[in-house]
Amino acid sequence: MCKGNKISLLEVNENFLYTFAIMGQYAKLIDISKCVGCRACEVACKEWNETGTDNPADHPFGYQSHEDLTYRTWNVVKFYELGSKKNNLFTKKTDQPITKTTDLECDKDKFVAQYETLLGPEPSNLFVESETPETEEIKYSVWKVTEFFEQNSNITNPSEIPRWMFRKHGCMHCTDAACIKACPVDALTRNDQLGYVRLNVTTCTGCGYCVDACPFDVPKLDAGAIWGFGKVSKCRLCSDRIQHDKQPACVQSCPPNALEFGLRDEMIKLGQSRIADLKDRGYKEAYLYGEKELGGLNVLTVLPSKPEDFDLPPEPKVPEYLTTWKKVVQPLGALAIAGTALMLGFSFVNSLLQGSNKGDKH
Amino acid sequence: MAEEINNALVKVSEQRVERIKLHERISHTINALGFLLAAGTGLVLFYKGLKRLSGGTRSRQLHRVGAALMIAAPFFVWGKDWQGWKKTWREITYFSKEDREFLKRAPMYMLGFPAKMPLQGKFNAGQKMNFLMVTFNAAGFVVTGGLLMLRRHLPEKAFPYLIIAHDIQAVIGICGFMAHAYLALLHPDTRASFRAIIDGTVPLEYAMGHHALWYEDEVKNNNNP
Repeated sequence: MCKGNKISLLEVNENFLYTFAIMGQYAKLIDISKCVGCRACEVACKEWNETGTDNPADHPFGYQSHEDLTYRTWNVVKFYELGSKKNNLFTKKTDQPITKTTDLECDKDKFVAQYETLLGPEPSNLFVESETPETEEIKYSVWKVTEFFEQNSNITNPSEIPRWMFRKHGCMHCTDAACIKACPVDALTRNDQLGYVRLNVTTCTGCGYCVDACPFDVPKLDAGAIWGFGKVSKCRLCSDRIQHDKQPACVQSCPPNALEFGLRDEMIKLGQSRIADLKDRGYKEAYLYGEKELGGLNVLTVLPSKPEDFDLPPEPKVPEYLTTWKKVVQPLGALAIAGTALMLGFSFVNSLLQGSNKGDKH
Repeated sequence: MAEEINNALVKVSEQRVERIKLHERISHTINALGFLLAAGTGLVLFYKGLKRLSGGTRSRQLHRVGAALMIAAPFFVWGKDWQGWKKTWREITYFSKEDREFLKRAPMYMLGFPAKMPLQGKFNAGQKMNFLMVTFNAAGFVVTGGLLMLRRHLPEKAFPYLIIAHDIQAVIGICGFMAHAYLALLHPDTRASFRAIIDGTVPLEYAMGHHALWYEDEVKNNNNP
C-alpha cells in the first residue's frame, strides 16, 4: 500500500487514518471581502487548542484584540483602513479625540438630515450633552462619512471608499517554508500529504531561528525564551481535527463563511471565482494570494486590493542568508572541525612512529 | 658510585617547580568547563546529526550556564592578582624574534616531526597565540552572543551577521581547543605539563627543556624548591 514510502513511527499515528482517504492537499481559504471582523475564529482557536489567554496589560486598547500574533494567540484578525488616504475616516480620532459633538464645526440641521438618510430616523437623544465618549466617537464617524460623500459624490470605484478591511493573520503553511529550513533540530516539518507545517513541541529548543526566518512573521516565542525557557508556537491547521474529518476550529466558527476549508484544488477554484466576482464589482486589484507564493501556500487569501495593503509581502521569499549560513558556513565549519581532528589524529600516530624511530632520544 | 649518580638523577627528575598558581588553575578549570558546556550544547544547534541530544530547551539553558562560567572565569585572576595579570598580559602580547621562529617551526612540531625549537620564556609562542585567541574569541562571544539574546530589539538585518559570526567563532574556538587539549593530553613531548593545571607544577626537567629562559630568569633563583 505504501511501499517505498518511509513513514516514521511518529508519523504513523498521524497518517494512519488518511492512508486510505487522502485525496490531495487541503487548504484554508480566507475571503477578506466577506470578513466582518467578529474575531470568532480567534476565540474558537483558543478554545480548541487551549492556548490560554494573554495578559491584557500587554495588549492595550485598540481596534485589534492583539497588535500581532503571540505565543498564545495563533491567529489575529488584523484591521486595516483602506481607501482614499486623504479622507481617512479615523485619522481625526488618533490626532485629537473629540469629546463633544458640539466641538465639530457642522451645521446641526444638515448633520441630522445626513444621519437620517444614512441610518434612518434620528434618535431623540442625539445631541444630549451627557453622553459617553464612545457614542461621541460613533457620531463623529457618521459625520465624517456624510462629509466624505458630500465632497466625493462622483466616486465610482468602490476601493476608493474609505472602509475597514479585516484579515485573519496566521501561519500560511508554505510548501517552501523558511521555518523548516531554519530549524536546527527538525522540530518543524511539513506534512505534504495533507499540506500543513507541523511543529513538534517536544523537539523544539526555542532557539527562535524560525521566528527570524519566517517571511510572514508568524512563529512566536514564549516569554523567557531569551534565557532558554519557553519554546515557539504557531497554528497547526488543527491537524488533529482535519485528520478526523472535521474542519479547523476557525473555519467551523466563521459566521459569514469568510473562511472555507477543503481540498486545495477546490479552494483555488472557489477563490478564483471570488476574485472574478470582485473584479466585476470594481475591485480591479483583487488577487488570490497563496496560489503560487513560496511553492504554494495552504492558506489562500482573497485580497480585494494589493498584498501590501494587508501587510503581506508581495513576493515572499525564503531569506537568502539561510543558504549562506546553513549550506556554506556550517558545512565548512563542520569540515574545519573534522579536519582538525583528523590532523591531530595523524599527529599522534606520527609522533609515536617518530618516537620509535628515534629510539631512546627523549 | 653509579648508583649514587643514578639516585641523584632520579631526584632531579622527580623535582617539580610551580608554574601555575591556584587562582589561575581555578580560573582555567572554570573556563574549560564553561567552554565544554557551551560548545557541546552549541553544536546541537550547529550540526543536525546531534539534534536528538538537544533535550528540548535544556541545551539552551546549559549554553547560557556555560557562557556565564566563561565570563566569570577571568575575574578569579583579575580579582586575586591584578599585577600578576598585567605581567602575564605583557608577556603574552610580546613576540620576540625567537617566538616568530618558534611559530614557523610549530606546525611540524605539532604534526609530530622532530623539530629543534628556539628557547622560550614562561609562555612559548604557541601558548601566547592560544591565549590571545581565547581572549579575543571570548570577547567576541560576549558581543555576538549578547546581541543574539537581544536580537528582538535589533534591526532584522543584524541577525544573519550575528549568527554567522557566532558560528565562525565557535569553529575557531573548538579547533583551538582541540589542538590545545591534544598538546596537553596526548603529544608525547608536552603531555608532561598536564599536571600543571591540576596541582600547578611541572617537572624541573620539563621547565629547563621547554621554558629555558623562564627557568634561567626566575625559577633558578627564586622558585627552586
